[in-house]
Amino acid sequence: MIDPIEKTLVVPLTPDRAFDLFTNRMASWWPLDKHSLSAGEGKVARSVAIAPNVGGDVTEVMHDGTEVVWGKVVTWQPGKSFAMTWQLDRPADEVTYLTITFAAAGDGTRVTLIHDGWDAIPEPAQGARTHYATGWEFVLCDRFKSAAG
Amino acid sequence: MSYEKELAALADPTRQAIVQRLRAGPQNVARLAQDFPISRPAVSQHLKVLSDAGLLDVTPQGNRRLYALNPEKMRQLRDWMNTLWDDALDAFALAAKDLAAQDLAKETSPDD
Repeated sequence: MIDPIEKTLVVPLTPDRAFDLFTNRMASWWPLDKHSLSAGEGKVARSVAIAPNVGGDVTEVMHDGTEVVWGKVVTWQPGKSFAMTWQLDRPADEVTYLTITFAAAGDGTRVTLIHDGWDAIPEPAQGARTHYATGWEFVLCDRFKSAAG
Repeated sequence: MSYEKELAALADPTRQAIVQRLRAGPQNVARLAQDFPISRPAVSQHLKVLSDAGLLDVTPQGNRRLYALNPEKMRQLRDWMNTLWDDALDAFALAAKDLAAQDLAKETSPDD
């Protein structure tokens, strides 16, 4: 069992504004020079954008204009919560899950990030089929159900 | 440590397919070449890129080599992502402060 990554911080914005900045204006703050697939090639990514609906793509526009999908939106609740699959170029059954929640804290907002699903990588003895079941079925069924409910 | 090298190695669809294939269990080049519509040297080249990126364990088996997924990779990816989130959230916190300062400037600026 690999523990989830958990981070919290408080920002001096309302939950609505913090959510808007994090998601709709991600390209304005994301370290495109350091953390992107373009960065892996020693270049600065042009942009990153989140399609603002469940099932929408989170897309990096690479330095050469190529678009690569980092993952898909699984929860979109403005001012409250945003979740996505974090896939990058990994096979579909090695997807991990990122959840960001926004909660009022005094005059600001407590932002909590949880990145989990690290045990998704299969043991060598297990077959691909099993992992498709635990990977995409989990994403498409459980996560969408919880997002819809 | 950066994970971008591994991601770059996986950016190729054939290499993704090879990784997918190795999910079912370790395999040698000859068997992999049967499963893909590319030459055996081409498969070898892809395997080299993947193993150079640390994604594969390579063990000698007689006069052949057996390729398997490296189970430590996910743990390493987590460690890398942990650093990534520290960086990203620092950047987000700065942007949030800037935005709050802009809001304050708007509120306090005279109307005329």
